[in-house]
Amino acid sequence: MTRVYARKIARNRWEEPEVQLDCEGIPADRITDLRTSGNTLSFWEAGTLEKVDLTIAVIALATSQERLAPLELTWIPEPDFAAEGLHQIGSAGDTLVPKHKDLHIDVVRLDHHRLSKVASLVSTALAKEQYNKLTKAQVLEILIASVRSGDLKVEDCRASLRDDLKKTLAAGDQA
Amino acid sequence: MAPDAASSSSAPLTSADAELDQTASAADFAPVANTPGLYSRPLSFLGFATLCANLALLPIPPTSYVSTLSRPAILSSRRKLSIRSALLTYLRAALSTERVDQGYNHSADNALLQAFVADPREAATALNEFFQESVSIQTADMLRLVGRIPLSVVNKADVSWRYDLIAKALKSSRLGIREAAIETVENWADPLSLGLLKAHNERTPWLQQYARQVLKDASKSKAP
Repeated sequence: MTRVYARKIARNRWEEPEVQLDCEGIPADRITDLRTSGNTLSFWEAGTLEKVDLTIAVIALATSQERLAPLELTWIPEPDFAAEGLHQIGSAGDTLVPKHKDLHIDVVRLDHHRLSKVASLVSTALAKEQYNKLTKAQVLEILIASVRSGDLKVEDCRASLRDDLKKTLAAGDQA
Repeated sequence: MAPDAASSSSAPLTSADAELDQTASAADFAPVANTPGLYSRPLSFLGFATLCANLALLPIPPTSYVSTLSRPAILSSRRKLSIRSALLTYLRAALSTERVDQGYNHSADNALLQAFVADPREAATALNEFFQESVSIQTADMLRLVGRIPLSVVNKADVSWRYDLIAKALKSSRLGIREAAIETVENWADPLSLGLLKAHNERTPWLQQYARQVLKDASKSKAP
C-alpha cells in the first residue's frame, strides 16, 4: 500500500503552454503554479495509491480559501519524493480540523533545481490521471459530511462559507 | 428567463456620486426630441459642472471609470468609448499583474462587478471588445472573472451577450478558455448556460469529466 500526498494545482497551466519552448525544459507556467512559501511546498495525506481519499486536503484547502470554488487536486506517491532526492518533513498543517493537522508534510529546502523535480513529479502524476477536479457542489458535500460527523465546526469557517454551509445544511434538513 | 436589456442601473456608487446625481439627474439632461445635444431645461451650476466633467477630453484615469459609468444617461458615445477603453486598460493591467486563482479574490473582481452594476450594457460592450481581440493568456482569466459576477447582475446586460460569450468560449481551441467557460456555467447554473454545456462535446477527458459533474450537480439541485 503506497501512501499518497495531495496538492492543489491548476491543470490547464500544466497542459497548455503559451508558447512552444525551443528547449526541453519545464515551461515556466508550470513552475509558477507551484507557489512555494519559505522554500517549501505543502501536501496533505490522501490515502493510498490503491484507495485515494481527498477529504483531508479538500477540508483544509476549501476552508482556507476566500470563496467556495472548484478544487483541483493531484496526488503523488510518497516514495517518489525521496526517489527524486527531495526532502520531506511531517509538519502541522493549517486546517480547521484538529485531528488532521499532523496528516501533512512539507517538501522542504527547495531551490529551482528541486522545484523542477517536483514539477516533473506533478507532470508524471497528471499523465497517470492522478488528478481530480471537484465541482463546488462536491467540495460542499465533503464539508457538509465533515460538519455532520463533528470534525468541522461551522462557526470556525469564514463568513461566506458559513452561509453556504448553513444554507446547505438547512436544505438537507428540510429534505 | 426574460431578457432585461432595458434596465441599466445607474445607482450611485459613492457619496460623492450620490451628490452629483442629485444635482445632475438623468432628467436634467434629457435631450429635446430630435435635437441631440440640446437639453429641455436650464441646468443648475452643479449640473452644468457635472456635464462638463463628463464631457472632458481623454485621458480618463482608469480608477475614475466606475463613477463615470454611474451616470450613463449623460454620456456621449465618444465619452462611452473612452470609458470602455479605460475599463479595459484597468482590467488588462490587473490581469497582467495577477493571475485569477480559483478560490481567491482578484483585484479586478470588484471593478468588474461595479462596472456591470453601473452600466451593464457598456460593461458587456467593453468585454466584447476584449474577447474579440486576439486570444491571450488573459482571456481565460477574464472569463473566470465574468463568471464570478452574479447572474442577476450579468443578466441586466443583453442576455444574448452572455449566451454568445459561453458558446464561443466552449468552442475555443484553448483548453483554459473552455475550462473557464465550464466554470462559468457551474457558477451561473441557469438553463441557458446548462443547455450550451449539454450540447458541448468536450474532447479533453478530465475536462469532460468535470463538465459532466457540473451537469449532474445542476440536475441534482433541481430535483425536489
